[in-house]
Amino acid sequence: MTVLVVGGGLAGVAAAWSLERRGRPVLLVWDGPGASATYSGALDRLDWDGPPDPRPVAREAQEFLQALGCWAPCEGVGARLATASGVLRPARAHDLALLDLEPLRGRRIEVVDAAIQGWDAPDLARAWSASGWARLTRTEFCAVPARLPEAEALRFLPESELAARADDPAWAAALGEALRGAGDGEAPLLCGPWLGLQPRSVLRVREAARRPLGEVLSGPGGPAGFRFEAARDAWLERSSSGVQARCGAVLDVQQSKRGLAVWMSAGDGKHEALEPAPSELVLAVGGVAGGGVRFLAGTGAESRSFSLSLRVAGERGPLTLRLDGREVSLESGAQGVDLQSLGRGALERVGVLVDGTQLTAVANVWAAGDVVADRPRAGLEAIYAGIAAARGVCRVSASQIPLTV
Amino acid sequence: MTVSAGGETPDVDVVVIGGGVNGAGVARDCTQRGLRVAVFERNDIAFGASGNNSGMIHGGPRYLTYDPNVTYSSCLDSGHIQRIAPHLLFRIPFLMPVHRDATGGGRAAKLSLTLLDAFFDLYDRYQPLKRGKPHTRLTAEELQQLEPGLAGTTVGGVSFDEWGIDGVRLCVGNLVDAAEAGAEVRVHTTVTEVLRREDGAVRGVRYRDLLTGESGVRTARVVVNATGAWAPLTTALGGLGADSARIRPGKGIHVFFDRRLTNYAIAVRAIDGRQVFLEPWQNLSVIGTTDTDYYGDLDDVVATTEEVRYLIQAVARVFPAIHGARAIGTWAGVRPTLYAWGPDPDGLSREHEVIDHAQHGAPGLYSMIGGKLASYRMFAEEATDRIALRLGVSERSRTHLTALPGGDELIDPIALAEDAGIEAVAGARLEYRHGARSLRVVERIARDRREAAVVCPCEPVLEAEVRYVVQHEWAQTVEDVSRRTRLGLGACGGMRCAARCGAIVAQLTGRSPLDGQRMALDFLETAARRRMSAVGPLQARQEALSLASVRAQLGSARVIERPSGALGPSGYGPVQSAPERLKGAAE
Repeated sequence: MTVLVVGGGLAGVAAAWSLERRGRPVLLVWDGPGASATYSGALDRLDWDGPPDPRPVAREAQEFLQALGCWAPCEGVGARLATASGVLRPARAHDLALLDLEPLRGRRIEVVDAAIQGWDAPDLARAWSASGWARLTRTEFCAVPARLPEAEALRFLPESELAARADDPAWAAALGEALRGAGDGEAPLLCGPWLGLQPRSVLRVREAARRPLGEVLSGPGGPAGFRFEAARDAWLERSSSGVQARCGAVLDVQQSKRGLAVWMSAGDGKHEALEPAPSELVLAVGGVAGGGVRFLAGTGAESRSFSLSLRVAGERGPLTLRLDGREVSLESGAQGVDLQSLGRGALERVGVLVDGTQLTAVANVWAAGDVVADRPRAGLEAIYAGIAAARGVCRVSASQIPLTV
Repeated sequence: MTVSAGGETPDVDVVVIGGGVNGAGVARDCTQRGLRVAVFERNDIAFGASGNNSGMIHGGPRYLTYDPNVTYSSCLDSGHIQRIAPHLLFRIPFLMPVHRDATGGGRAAKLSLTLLDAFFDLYDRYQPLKRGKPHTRLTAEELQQLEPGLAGTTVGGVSFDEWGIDGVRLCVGNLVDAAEAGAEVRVHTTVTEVLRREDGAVRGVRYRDLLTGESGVRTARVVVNATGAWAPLTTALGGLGADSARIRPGKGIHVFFDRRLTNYAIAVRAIDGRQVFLEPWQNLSVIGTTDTDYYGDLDDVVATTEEVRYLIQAVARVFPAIHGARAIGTWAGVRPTLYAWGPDPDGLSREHEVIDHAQHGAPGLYSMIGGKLASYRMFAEEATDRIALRLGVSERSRTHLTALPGGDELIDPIALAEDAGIEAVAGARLEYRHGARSLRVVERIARDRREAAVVCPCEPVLEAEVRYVVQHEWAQTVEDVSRRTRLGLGACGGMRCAARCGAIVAQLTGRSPLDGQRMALDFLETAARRRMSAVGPLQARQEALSLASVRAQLGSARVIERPSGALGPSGYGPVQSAPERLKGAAE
């Protein structure tokens, strides 16, 4: 039977991908972009500025990164990426447009110096050269002037529009040509987030430039999120058999004899029941990074009979979960999740998969992404959680564990 | 000037402690009268109440019933400020609706409107002093026409006229003027001791630069304590008792919203009968204010959620759309009101007073207590008169006759923008803040085209202006730049511009790129903390997203690499020596 995956971010897409390859029919539903659409292009399991994470990327996650086609293959110690704030930071995996400095240790890296809003190449080169990693590895950064096509017109364009231009193949070729002539023409070249909103645009620029070349991390609203969404949409088109996709808000989910009764918005304030009713649900609606999900045990009439519902009040109102007549609301708060005040029981009673393995009261509802976590999670962790939820769905349905309440 | 009684030649005639509007005003007046002045500011210019108020030089109609002198002097001096700094003022027309339900019936409401009308007849007498327009009595329909967002049944209302101003720019203008006439201005420099001779008279101050850690002594014949709510703490540095400069500290908060929600400011009554307002201010809407006794940390005053709710609840009753508006931050300041036991904070007078501490055995030490933005110049004149008398200077004040920097000439912002090749809105905002001095800022663009880059798109603020305020207006950190230019105070809360601004400030002050990043993080953290009490759950989602974006780039403040070597207490690396900084400011 069909599995309904709610949420089209990293976790939801990873869950859908993983379910599809396990042979399950999937309906992927999302209602607009979330945290994944604004991610920086770097993927990690832990905060990058905390203690280093020694774990290699799991094979299934690697396969997922490869399958979607917007990420660079990840191997060895991980990557080292430059940010437009003058920082060199580590990452486990990253968007393919970004320049990984790890294999370029000890080299002279050239930084494109062009008249573009907020891009001060000499200052950035100074900041990167002064950072701990560059001094340790004797890696040097220096600004090199480059004359980009239509330089006059570009001067006042925001960076994201600059990236959008590169989706035009002719422009991408001209940009690559210009970058080829910058500096000594051979050294690895670091540029701003200008290489395109489509993964294939990046490849076109690189082909024309004929030298190692890549971006710094994307800032808020930068192109990395667009490239993820483009890769997701392309993947959904490719896998015409397995995963069905649909845009819209899930308003309500109720347990029924036939599975889960799901109501979706149908425009003009109307809603409709999803047919056929899905048998399992993976919630991947975003967490702290996507807005800070907080589980609160609300007050409500106590009821012996089991019911689970999930509703979105209003157009974009807070998502609420009801369990046994008690409201468990998912409320955003920038302060982060305070699970401690509730105890984990609150989560487990709605059948949320905690730490990827533990199965709890309601077997046919799973969670992925930041919903499972009690702290802000990074992109790679969201992918892991999506895959773990998919595994759980398949394992449970295979062994036919009866529902217990 | 002359040798003092003790036989030593003091470094300066007057040391002013405090870079708020009182300190800036007295420093300017003293310099104009030929006195040598040094100003020490512990945080930054206009860090306290001067930069965290309603942004109005209003005539104070609410004082009219019990202290018409305050209204008279406010209106008169407001007129003076208009002449010396015309670029800094903008008209804020007010509407005061009278609600049927608020007064318990139609007849009572009509009576209350008639009384209000008569009251403003009285206020109209003072309006010509500040070029204000007389009030108008409006019908309910007219009110609705002027401001369609008004809710509730009214019997009509009145309009009256006030002026808005950016308090920070006013303080900066006064200090720049003083510095150009020879005054020494030091920000982020705290006075650690007020030095006294054996006979009790003051002989100067000991100071410490909080950024460089450098300390020293500046001897003077007179020390002026213009530290607002900090006043009792400052007199204590001279060994005076706690009751020598008493104030009643009254905390006031404001919440500001993205964009202008109304064309008119609206005066409304809060649940406890207090008058609060919603005003269009620069490119924001501001609601304010509260008035509560405050005994917390003066260096860290933050609006609480309760205070924000109190204001929003009051405004929403008359202007419900406030619920859907996007709150982007809060201001909180502490008014240094004159000390009085008993009355409600609102009933306390905003009139000012100069205390001569000769009565406490410390001749030469003066405290400026109270005051308000609208009559700052008059208060400074009063204080300077006392100082001049002591120092035997007979010159009269000319501060109401001479223009503040940039106020000498009116500039057409559209032509300015066209000439400089920048967007018209950027030109207009620049002209507002700098007046004729905006020409100096755009000259930089003519020299280096790159400085036309927009650093903060919300305001907008150009790179040229960021560089200008660091080099000529003593900005030393991202927050200092933000205070002077409003960088990072728009809808994005500095997410897009703090890092870039930090890089520029670090570069110009000779600090490391890492220090620039730390400054940016400090600014973002402070801004987020000030915003947090005002945002609702849905906005908190966006907030968390933006924070995640910034953290992907910069990391978090707690773990960013810190430079080794000597650090000032604020933790940034070494900066240029003070004389170099001053040279930059005086250029």
